[in-house]
Amino acid sequence: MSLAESLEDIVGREGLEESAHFPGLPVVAPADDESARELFLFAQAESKSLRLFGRGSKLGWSPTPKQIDFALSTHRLQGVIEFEAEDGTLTARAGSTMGSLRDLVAERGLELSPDVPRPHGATLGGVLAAGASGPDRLRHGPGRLHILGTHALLPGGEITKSGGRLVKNVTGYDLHRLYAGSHGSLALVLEASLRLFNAPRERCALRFERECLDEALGLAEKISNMTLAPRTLTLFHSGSESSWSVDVGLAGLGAELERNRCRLAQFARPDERLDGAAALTRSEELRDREPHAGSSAVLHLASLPSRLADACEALLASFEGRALGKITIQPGVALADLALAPNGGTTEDLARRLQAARTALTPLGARLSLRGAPRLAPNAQNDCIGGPALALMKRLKEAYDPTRILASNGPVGAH
Amino acid sequence: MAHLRAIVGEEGLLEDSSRAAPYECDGLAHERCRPEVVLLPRSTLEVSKCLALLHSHSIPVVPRGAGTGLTGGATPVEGGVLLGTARMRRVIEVNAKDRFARVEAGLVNIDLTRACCDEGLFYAPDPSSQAACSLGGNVANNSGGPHCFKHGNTTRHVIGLVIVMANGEVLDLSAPEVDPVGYDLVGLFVGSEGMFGIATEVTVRLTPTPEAIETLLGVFASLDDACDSVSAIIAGGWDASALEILDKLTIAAVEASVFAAGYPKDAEAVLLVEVEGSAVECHENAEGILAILADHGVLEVRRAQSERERQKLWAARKGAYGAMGRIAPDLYVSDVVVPRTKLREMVRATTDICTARGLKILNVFHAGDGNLHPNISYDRRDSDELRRVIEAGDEMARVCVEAGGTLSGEHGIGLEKLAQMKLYFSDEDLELMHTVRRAWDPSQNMNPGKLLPIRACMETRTRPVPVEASGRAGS
Amino acid sequence: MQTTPTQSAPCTDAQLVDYAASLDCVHCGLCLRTCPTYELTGRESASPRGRIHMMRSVAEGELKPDAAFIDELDLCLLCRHCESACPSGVNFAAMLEHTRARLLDSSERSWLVRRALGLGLGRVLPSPRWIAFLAGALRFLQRLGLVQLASRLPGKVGQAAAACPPVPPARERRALPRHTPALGQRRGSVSVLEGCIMPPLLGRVNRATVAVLAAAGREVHCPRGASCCGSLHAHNGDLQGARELARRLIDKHSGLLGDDGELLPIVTNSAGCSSHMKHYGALLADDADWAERAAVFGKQVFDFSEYLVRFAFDDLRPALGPLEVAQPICWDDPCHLCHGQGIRDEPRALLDALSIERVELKESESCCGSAGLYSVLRPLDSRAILAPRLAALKATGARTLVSANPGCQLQWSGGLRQTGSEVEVLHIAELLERALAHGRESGE
Repeated sequence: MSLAESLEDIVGREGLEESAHFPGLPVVAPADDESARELFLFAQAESKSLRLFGRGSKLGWSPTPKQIDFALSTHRLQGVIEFEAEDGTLTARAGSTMGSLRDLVAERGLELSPDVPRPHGATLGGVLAAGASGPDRLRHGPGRLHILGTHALLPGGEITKSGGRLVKNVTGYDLHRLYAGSHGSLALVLEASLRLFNAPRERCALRFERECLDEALGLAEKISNMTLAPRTLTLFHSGSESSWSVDVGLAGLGAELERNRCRLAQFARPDERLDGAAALTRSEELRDREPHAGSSAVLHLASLPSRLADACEALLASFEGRALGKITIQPGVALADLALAPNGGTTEDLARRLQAARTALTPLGARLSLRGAPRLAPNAQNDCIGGPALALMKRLKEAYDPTRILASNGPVGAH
Repeated sequence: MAHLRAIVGEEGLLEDSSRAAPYECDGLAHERCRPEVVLLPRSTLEVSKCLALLHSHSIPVVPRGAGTGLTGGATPVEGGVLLGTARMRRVIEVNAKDRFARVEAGLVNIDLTRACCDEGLFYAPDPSSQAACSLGGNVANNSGGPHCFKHGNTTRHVIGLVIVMANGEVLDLSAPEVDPVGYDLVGLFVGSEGMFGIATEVTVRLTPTPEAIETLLGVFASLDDACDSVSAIIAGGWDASALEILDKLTIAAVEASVFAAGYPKDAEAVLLVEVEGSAVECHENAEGILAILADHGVLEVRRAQSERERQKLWAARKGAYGAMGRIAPDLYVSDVVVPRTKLREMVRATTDICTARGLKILNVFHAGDGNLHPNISYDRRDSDELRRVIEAGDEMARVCVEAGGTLSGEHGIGLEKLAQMKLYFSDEDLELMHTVRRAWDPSQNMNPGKLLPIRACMETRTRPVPVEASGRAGS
Repeated sequence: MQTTPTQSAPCTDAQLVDYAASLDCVHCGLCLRTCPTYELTGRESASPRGRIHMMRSVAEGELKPDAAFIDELDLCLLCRHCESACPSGVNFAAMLEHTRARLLDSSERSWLVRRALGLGLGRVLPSPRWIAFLAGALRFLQRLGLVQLASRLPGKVGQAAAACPPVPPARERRALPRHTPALGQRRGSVSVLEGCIMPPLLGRVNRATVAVLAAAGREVHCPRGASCCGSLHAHNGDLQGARELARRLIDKHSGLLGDDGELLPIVTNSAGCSSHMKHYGALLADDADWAERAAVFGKQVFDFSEYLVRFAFDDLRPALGPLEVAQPICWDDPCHLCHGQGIRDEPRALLDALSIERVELKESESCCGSAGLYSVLRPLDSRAILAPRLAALKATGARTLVSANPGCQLQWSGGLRQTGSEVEVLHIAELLERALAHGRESGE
């Protein structure tokens, strides 16, 4: 019996799929926890290696090793398990899209975090596993902080709980924190609980155009220092035009909004202003224009606010002469995403430039990773870790997955 | 011993029984074990050398911060060494621009805010013991506090750590990373109750001091009304930064103390509300909350008129636990969490459990988080009363878990709630935690016997104190 | 006159401790950070919570009161800062005095220490003549330069010699007059406590105290024959001696009655003394003949700034004028003023009435390490406790430090002298007196 047939036995015909992310490989999408468990047991018994994913939007963040036997998508593990609007918590299955969950809680005047780009194409489990965040990070912090608990399927087939559905809980180790950002290398998260936030009552979006990056960063710094607590603050460069736009999202109560807008206007005159529903639409546009690692290679820079300007400069210098695409910068949280234009150069050139950029960035305490194609060696793609931290991560991997059925090319390395 | 002394210096090693005696328990006073050796190292390097030496002799190590924990997390173990961080209290770096600080683990929580308040920043988690507890202890227990309602527990603020592992190896994760590289070891370590290693340095996020703060005190004729208003404030989507309830007995204890702040002694319950943000936000939120309080039969609302008055209200709230020493020699501080939609019924249920056993219960709790603290004043010399206290603690945990709650919101599990862990977690869940712990500490000598129940033998460690001496004056 | 050092009946270990009081502590730990010896050592057993734990363990028979136990208790400065932080109202100072009293003759202490302490407390402190003689002798040695020489010695002797305050010339050491008339209209009478070490070392403070009171229209009495209040005896465990001195002091003041026939207010310029004297009622509670008199007496005791602000502020204010003092100034709360008596606002009110620039000292309620005899008995610990305070003072940029307790004044002066600082240390009475002098001159 072929592998595909064995898999079909477990998940049924409708559970066997194909995916552009995994050309030529069987892809299974179990419809319930039990068949996911059976797939894990099957992989154990047959010494198969599999890759977990949701809808594939962030697969490029941690590329798949070559030797895998099949892939498992959670996209059919959908649904809300519990939505306690009055307690401000939501528990949903991993395959639910962030977009559907977001729409659900919005009906009750709530919002969830992270507000990731293109949320209808991103699953809860995938976002969690990738450690993704969105422009709301300035307000709510990284998304991993809002996970209250998980149910996870271990490689050995056990379904285990960590945390819970309560907004405050220190019972047991915070294993769910370990799953956040683990790129599915430890366990399959079946369901997760999130803390919800009150959605802002009113919004306003302001846009400032600036000639160059320095000016844009300068304006952003001024705004950051103003204690007006903007909800979002993003810099954007389209790659084709020369100018930068600085977008400020304000939110809150009416009077508050008005006051902050006036304070802002005192030293910078906005080139564009949107209110109400238009402001919400704008915030979604801003969120979704982050360069998409699915379509091109994206350099992801993480720094500190005080060093962001230097880090950007060092990064741009290292890539001088190579064609660049869109650039988004979140100065408040010191993150930047820089798209590389397709066919802008050879893979060797890219590896060399990455190396040069890292050499310049390390003294600045900044990190650089490459998301999406083209495929480089894992240690060129992500920052390296070594020493006791790496050894400990390897022990953790070993503890969860001694037979190594879950494939990953994360910083812990390929297997 | 001589080797250890050479590492930590003459002042850093205590072995006489008098000096070791105060280390025999933390805030869970009925669990005691006098350590044979107490080590007070001064640096990461000294901790590392000590642990390497102890590891080579397979000697268990119990870490201790300021000993303000309430679940026996720092209770020594037989044949083990106690390692305290009280001599590691330096502030290494305050970075106002990037809003973080690096400090040694023994630094007292409140001293961190003192070190950065001139920069317009503060450290948000504020356990009631913040004037005494150490950052390292906060990390071990993922401590909370009143303002964690808005700002979140310790884990939301820790962005880096230096950890000395069981074998003495130093894991330097102190760089303030935007996102962890690889697995989130820092996030996993916070709340591990000293069983993964000893944090010697902590990097924390600092929060800008709000532009305005408004503090309201709602006076209620019943605890039920106070609870219901909290549920309504949460459901109504109002942004408060703290929502605290104190009941009548608690108010009486506090008002008799040096922290008396003018809480009304005839009220059945008061709700202390704080809102923060810009002046406008504060005003709007306060007005919204006031309307809800009025709907729930608030008798009177007071507004703090000055920063000094506000500080007094909070000092009284935070001194409440200590003030209960006026009622009986010992205090059992429970810590359970329930969904915020069930506050009223769960407060009632826990109160009934205590009163049915003839115990004196005082309620002072983080209502906004659904984090209840039914406190029982008792005398551990009365073995039957101690038995009833422990029984009530177990029963309260069971009832809360059944209602969708959990065992601890901020104090941790320690020794106190070991047996209750099985109410909340399955054997598979616990087995996984054991496995993860072994990945950190294969020797399993770091703070053994805490947090994770050991499958077969669950010995009862409680013992009454035999004394023939007279009781307390006036009782 | 002399008091006999305690000859307590042999007691069991459990009786060493005020067991009932030890049960008030629930181990919350809010006292830890206030304790100067815990700050210094990081040792739980050197903290109030730890000491109470040890005491309770002794009472419950789980701990032998060994040398380490005694040493940790001796390390306590009795600054009472912990009491200000204790929500449970533990009366720590009383507990410690209780235990110290019962340990006074403990064989765990060296014979020499016991003998010296007995002599100092029993004979020297209560006797103005002894003190005057010793002060004269010390001044003689200082003039010869021998003390300065000794201060270069390593270890305790050197530290003690370095800590030795310079003794002023004989004219500054003379006693206060028994009676000083009010300046201008008489608005009342008070009596003042001259103190044991005040006349030889800080006579000028005593005179300033009288001058300020007189300027506020107070007729000032200073009875002879009762100079020592006994607080140092109580702190160091000699409760018997403390009681005898209390009785003597009450007796000597008993004839001083006001126009209304009530006992005159007793004003003291030493926070340690006023704090102790206010509790004479408790000290003599078991003495049927004295208990009531002591309680009445205690209610009439006022600290200098407390008395002025509560009863004589309006009378004093017109007499105050501009003064010459290096600014800014800052106020250091003496432990036995702020923790012992809860007096914090009064001295600040007086200082602010002078319209001079005042800055706040960080942790101004922390102990300076003086603590009565402590600076003499444990000079190294005492200096170590002062060190962070000196740094805090430096950070304020203040050029004058104002205090209200002789021990603190000497401790700070000594510490500042050693670090070569030029900050002047004044008693609040001295500062007010300067304002008076100017007020008079400009009025004339």
